[in-house]
Amino acid sequence: MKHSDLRPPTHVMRLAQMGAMFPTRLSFLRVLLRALAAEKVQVRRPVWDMCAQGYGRAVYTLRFGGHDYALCAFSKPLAAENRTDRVIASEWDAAFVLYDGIPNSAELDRLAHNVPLQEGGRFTARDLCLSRANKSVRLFGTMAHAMQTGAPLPMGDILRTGYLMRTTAVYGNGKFGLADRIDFCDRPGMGGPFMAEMLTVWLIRGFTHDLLEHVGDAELPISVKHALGVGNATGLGMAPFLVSHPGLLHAWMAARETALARVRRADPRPHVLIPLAHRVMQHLLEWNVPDAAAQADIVALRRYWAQFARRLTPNLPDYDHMITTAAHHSPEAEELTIAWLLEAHGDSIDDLAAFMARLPPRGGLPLTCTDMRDMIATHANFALQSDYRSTVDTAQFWYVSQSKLEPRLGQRHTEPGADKESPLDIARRIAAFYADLPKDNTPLWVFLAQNPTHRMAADRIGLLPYAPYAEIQDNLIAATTHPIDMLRCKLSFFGAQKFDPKSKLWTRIALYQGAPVATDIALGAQGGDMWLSTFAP
Amino acid sequence: MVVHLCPMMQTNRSGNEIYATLYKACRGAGLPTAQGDQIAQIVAGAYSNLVLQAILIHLGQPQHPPLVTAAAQNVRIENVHILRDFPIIHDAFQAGLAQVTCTDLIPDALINALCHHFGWSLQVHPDALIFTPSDLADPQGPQRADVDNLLWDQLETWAYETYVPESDTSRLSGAGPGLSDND
Repeated sequence: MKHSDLRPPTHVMRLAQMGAMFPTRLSFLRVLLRALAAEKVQVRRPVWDMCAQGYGRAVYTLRFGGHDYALCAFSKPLAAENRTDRVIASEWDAAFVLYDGIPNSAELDRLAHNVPLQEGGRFTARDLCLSRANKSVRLFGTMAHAMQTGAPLPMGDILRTGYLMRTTAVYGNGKFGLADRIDFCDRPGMGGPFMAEMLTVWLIRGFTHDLLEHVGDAELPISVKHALGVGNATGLGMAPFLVSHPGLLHAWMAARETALARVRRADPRPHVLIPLAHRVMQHLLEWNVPDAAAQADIVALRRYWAQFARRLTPNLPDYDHMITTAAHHSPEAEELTIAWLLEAHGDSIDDLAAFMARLPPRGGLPLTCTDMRDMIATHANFALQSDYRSTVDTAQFWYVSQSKLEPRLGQRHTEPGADKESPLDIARRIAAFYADLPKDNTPLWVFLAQNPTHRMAADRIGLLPYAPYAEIQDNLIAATTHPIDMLRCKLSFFGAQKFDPKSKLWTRIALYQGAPVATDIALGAQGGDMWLSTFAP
Repeated sequence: MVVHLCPMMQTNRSGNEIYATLYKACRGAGLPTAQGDQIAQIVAGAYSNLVLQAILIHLGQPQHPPLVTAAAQNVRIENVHILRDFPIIHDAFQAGLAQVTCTDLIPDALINALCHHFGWSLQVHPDALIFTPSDLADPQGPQRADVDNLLWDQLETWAYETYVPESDTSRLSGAGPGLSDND
């Protein structure tokens, strides 16, 4: 695949485009579920020790890729005034750990003590992921009451909300003593990005169904279980990841763009795409959010898609034409069209998931300062477009608060703390590097030896010829930067749907809404792989 | 300084914990970001309490601008701060130079770890260390290790320098959602 077949980074890596992304069949939770279904993994629940109100502990076990895993859940009462999705929370409705193996009673007691403490606990190499969740008070309580009294379930609310509980953090890769990812990523099924985290959340989803059935003292229909995923409140903490892992970001983007390039060359599949288009329309009708600006975007997308889907015939337009037309409407229309097209061509692209955890090779730095200036102008011109002396282009700064190490965004010119700014001002650093580079053939290594603070910019630039999608091509400290665009990009790779932005700094989402449940997976998910609620069944 | 070898005074930490805290500590000490990142990765792959002890000493040292003199196949660096300037040695060898002389340095566990990682040979002279390239590079990925608690506390003190004190404004509006949040 030539680079020229791929959409250019100057388009794809702009925040406005990244912030319009939709989940696809390359999203991580899709990849996980295909792997679980291929093995017909059986989930068992050897421990269910809950009082009538749903407080206590539970253990779910499964064998996947030749290894045993267990989700251990601990549920406790929580006063409404203490329920918050913020990192600064200190208690939650339920806390979880994904354990490597089957815990014995001593291990379960250790986990019972540490897991509810979350960041305050201490974990071992047997503990893979740590998470916590709060109930959707409006939906959980309403449904429990309906089930207890035999009243009809609120299907409208179920479809609108999409979850019973909301995770507010999912930690992995060595945090607080958890296992390092490198210790288990060679296992079958666990090599993709965030596989342990995705498995944890999927098992939590099953727990939320079981908890409601227990409290409601009745069974949930399978169709309702399908409609209930797991919510998540995603704040700023997720955004810096995309900046601090440029090689990984490139791997994700390159896989997706390569998938698109393959699909653009494929024979059209109207018999799959036309029904999917109507399901997309249904999803757009079900996707409503309180934020006025976000709702306006959804309504605009809904109008576009309604016209587009209505005109589809078995004689489909050229894929390129559909993408270009959508792009003229909006980034959301373009990205939705792409997700829709990818969905129909899994046999051509699903293999690309295997590349999403492979970091690109690193070449050496250019020899001279002139070479480096040329490289910046060629690959990072975006960084030279802002005026870093202006208040507008330097309005914001990223930092970590002393309070529970919560990531935050500050206003540089009105708040203290910019002296401890997190190094996410990549564009500004590249521009400063470019400005200081002499316009001659001074060996670059000599310049960097004498100017050690520019090494970060040099390393970032040096990656770009090999990883063109490694950099977000925007000024991340400008007044116009909206972190939610970064959140949506990463969340779409996770497989999140029903983006419900609460501000420019955080959003609620639903994961696994429409996905197979454990009983489906045990049968190999015979219902098929196209379950994303974007293609609402 | 005493390094405790008693298991009761140590905590088993993940490779990523070691990396993340060390990286922040380097930033907290005012070291450039890239160097802090790379040092943290190297040490997370080859951790020992002696290496951490050496790093803590270096973190507390003042940073003066390096004086780099390149001549023929040799480079001489004065005012070396090893945590900041180790990439110069790597770069010089990548550029084909044969020898890097660093004044104001004495060998310690950190320098030995860097030599092991990059494959450098080291000659110790009374007033300088002389590095030459060899073919024995042995980079390692992050690994769990038992970390001395006192050393870790000192490391976290440096890392703490990167955190911003909370204000009412930042608490209320810096992260997005309000203080309580029910759905």
